[in-house]
Amino acid sequence: MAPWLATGLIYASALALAAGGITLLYMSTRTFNFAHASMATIGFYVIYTGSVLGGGTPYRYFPLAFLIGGLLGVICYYGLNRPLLKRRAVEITLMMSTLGYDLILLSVIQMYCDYLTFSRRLFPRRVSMSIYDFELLGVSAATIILPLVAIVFLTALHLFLVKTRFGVAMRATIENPVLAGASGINADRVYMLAWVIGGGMAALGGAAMSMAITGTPVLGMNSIPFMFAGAIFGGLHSLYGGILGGFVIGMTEYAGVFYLSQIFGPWVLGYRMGIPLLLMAATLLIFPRGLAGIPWAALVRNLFGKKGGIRV
Amino acid sequence: MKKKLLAFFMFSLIVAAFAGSGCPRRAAPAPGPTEHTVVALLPLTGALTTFGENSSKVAELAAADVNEWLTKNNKNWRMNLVIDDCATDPPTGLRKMTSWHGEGARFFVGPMSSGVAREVLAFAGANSILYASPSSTAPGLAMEGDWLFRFCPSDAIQGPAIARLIQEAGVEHLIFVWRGDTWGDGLQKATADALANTAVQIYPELVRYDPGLEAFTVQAALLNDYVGDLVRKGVSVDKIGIAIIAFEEIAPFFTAANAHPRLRQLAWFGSDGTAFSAALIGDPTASRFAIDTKFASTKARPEALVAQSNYERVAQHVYQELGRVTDSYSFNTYDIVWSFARAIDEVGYDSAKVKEILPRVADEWSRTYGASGHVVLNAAGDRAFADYNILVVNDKLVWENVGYFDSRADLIKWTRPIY
Repeated sequence: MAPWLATGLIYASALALAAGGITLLYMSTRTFNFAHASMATIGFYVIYTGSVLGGGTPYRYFPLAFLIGGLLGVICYYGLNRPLLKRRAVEITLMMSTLGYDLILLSVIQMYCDYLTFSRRLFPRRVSMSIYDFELLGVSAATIILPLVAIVFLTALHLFLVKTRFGVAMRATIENPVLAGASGINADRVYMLAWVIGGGMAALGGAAMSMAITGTPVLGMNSIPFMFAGAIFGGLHSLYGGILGGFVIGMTEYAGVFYLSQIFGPWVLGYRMGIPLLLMAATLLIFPRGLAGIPWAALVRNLFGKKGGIRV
Repeated sequence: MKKKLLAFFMFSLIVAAFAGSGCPRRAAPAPGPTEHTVVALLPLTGALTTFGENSSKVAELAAADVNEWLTKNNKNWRMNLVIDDCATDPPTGLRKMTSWHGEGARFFVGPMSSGVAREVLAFAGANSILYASPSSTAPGLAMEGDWLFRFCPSDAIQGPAIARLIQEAGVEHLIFVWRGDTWGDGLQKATADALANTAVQIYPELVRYDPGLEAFTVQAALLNDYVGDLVRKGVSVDKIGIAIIAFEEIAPFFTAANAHPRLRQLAWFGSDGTAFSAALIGDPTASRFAIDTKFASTKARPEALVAQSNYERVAQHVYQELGRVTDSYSFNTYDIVWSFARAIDEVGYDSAKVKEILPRVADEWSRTYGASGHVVLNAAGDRAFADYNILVVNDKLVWENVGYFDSRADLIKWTRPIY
């Protein structure tokens, strides 16, 4: 497998997890979570600290990253989001409150990096996590393991939402909170769980991302535009759309830019960040509800000559 | 009731705050020396982290030495050194400078990168802020009359040093890859210009990348394609070289390049942005790649040590604090702090007056005490002369000095030939 494709696959899987988390939190609590950035960075620092101080491969620490991300989500929910939701805060207020939380987390990250630098004599501000990786079937293990982690996690999430009582209650609350409340579903618990899963997905995404790009204290901050782009591209009203959107944006950033630079020359590389965003903008112009709003079945029918028409 | 209580509490808090802040103003000024603020605006995060950390420790040492000297000589002022992070990011650097200027600061040590130095240039000029960079080398910033001093030489000298190194390696076809910022653009141009009348041919496709980039698989794949193109045209691999002008993103770049065996067979050339990179040494794959490709980086060579040089003290201090060998720019940081101190002591905390006398003060002070050697600044406020050390990563994963470029003679004097 070409190295750029392998990196693209890891990065896209990471972005799918992170973007899915953003969509989940938006659907459940109307909150664009800016703290996703630092939660992702903390996910990276969990696996970095584990690998350096605890030993073993970074994958051992992925569950811990998820748990810590979930804990940060709970803190955000009870400390900020819940009180604001109770006061019926508008979306912009909810969003800005998470930005404040993100800045606090960023400061904590910087303090932690200072501790690692000055007390542990480590070099935590620029880390290539790939050095802790190993080879599997002739490629870096991350190329195989991380897409698998993403698939397994997202399948488990799907089964949870579809097959368990709490999952069904969660979907019901997301779709119609008033009706769900009237049916005796505890919306508070549902929202709290959404923050656990959303925060966990951010941390998991950040941990996975650091296997493809350099880990820095601003890893999440630099990637947050793409996380949001993935969520919006996929469609903010569909969890699966958000996940798919993240994956497509991630792959475009690598595969798309690589192909374009081969055709038009290396100057295209300067527009690396613009190309996936351009794709997102173009798609939203045609399909305003994102990937999830595309009538795939009708598209396929039309493609094979059956009449039906496409409604956007 | 609850709301009333809260309102009363808030009101009391505001009254207390105003009352508290008013008290000291009414009281007589406290006796003791005046504090003058000098801000060290350094890249503690971002692509120049190693250099920023080194220089922050050196700036602290210099400020402590300055204050000890001021105390010993019964001076009526003390230096208040503040260290802040510009994140190797131009907008962040400007925001921080604006903020500190609002607090009354007029003297800045740093920023270290030319990109940040350029970003703050207009603001500094408009507000009479004097700043001195230990490491900004972009030729485009060599301007007379501005408020920027640079205690390092311009890349107008480093470009020919890298060009000479490339010729010494026997390279006939060179591929350029560089970070697309003020510094990278300037040094790439200076190197390309120096190669213009030589036998070295520059590959027509130029790989200029976004300075914020953290993954380089696409760039590495393109370089591999270009090398493949040259090989198909009959060029021998040992005649192909790659000049990379980067900061500490060199480590992930080499990790990405390592996936292409052909790129491991070429000679790679770096610059002062990569020499002494702790990130490179700390990455086993990248450091192995650097050893295999004889990755040679240039770095301004400290001048001959002066009589009471602080060179060893500075080096030992950084080693004790951070457990690593410091870089040559950190010695410039020491001299900047001291030059500011001596100048402020002479004419007061007045940036316009200090600007006038700084070259003379730096020249006089560094003749005896300078950590980086004797500091002579030219008309543009940049260090006037420079030779460049050639640094490679050796098998013990240590940056080793294997020779130096003599700028006056335009040749490399090897202590351990590597080609």
